[in-house]
Amino acid sequence: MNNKITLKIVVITIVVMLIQIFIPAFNFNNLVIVPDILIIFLTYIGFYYGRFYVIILGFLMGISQDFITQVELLGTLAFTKSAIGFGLGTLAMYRNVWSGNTRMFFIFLLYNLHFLIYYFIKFSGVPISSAIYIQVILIHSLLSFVILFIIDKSFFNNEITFK
Amino acid sequence: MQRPRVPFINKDVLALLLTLFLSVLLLFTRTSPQIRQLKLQLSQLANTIAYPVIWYREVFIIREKNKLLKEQLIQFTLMNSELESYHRENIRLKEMLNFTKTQPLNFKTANVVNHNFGLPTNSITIDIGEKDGVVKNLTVMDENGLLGKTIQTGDHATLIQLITDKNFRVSIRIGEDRALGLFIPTHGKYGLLEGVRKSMPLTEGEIAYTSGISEIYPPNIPVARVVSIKRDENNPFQHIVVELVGSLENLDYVFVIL
Repeated sequence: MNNKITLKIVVITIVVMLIQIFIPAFNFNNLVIVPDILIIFLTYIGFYYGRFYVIILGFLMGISQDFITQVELLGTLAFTKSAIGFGLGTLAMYRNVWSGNTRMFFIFLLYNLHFLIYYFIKFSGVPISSAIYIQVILIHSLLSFVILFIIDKSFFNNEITFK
Repeated sequence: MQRPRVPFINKDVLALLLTLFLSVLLLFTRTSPQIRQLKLQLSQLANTIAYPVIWYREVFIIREKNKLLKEQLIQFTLMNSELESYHRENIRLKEMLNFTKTQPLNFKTANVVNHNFGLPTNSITIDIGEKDGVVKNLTVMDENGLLGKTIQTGDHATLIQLITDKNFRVSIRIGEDRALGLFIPTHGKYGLLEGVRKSMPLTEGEIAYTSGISEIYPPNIPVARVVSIKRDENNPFQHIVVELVGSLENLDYVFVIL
């Protein structure tokens, strides 16, 4: 990765983080759900630049997100974003092997894994039913996935989802 | 032509392990209820996984312990008969002085399944919980003396704040006059007794017992032994360094006073 690309990624990272701060949230069963734009950005980093960069960037973004939104659970998002970063980096390795559908299925699974770990830690010791737990994970994953789908269709000419 | 060596751990895996390690480290320095619950769940899981190994190891240890316990049993039998006579004498004397009867302590024995030294809360996890009648704020001790108190309970596990934890405090009585003081841990097995007045005669080796003032700890549980005493002219209280009576090394089992 040369300096020009690094600088470009740093600038985009800052912009994405600013969007993440100001993105509107909605309420589901008294739980505030904020669409996660950062994992969409990490999906593209993983797709274009591979595992190493997405793991490092995922960790840094996760830790920044933890500092801003939940200091009492510092490390949670850093953990989940680093973990799925490894999976998202796999997209680059199989870029020419996997079909669009396989990629979409794999990304959706990773998003689910991300929110599964995140909510497992967040809801530890909190009396909450399994149904709501599963619903929140699915809604959050689906929301991020739909945003990825729209972004990919609008700005990247279906680079990830169909090609 | 030699084939190039492919390293087993490449830089991607190394980066993943490093970032996950840092994240877990950060996560476990937190003291929020979720993280405490998570630690409890993880230690329960680790206990379940490690059970066969622990069981196998314990078979060998039990044989040695049994031998030691038999020797101790003989000593205690002799001591017990002596104490029995003192006990009867004590009851007689108390009756003469019209003392009210005290309730004997009920306790449950528990195995230590996890040690969390070095984390913000110096704690251990034991294998009994709410299903066994354990609740928050119960006294925990070994056969020698006080070890801590219960701070969080699960169905089959309980988190114990150890006496060596920096936030641990316990009210004590010491000396012939049973003067009040406060035990504060400092480092390792050592601590300080604060608030013991200078006029109180004390010698090294004396034992401080729980005062019974607290709602958590019953009276007369040995806490610490006096190691050194300093009397400063400008200070109305003595500077007493003590060492813990309860043994925190090789902690296998503890008693929870119900």
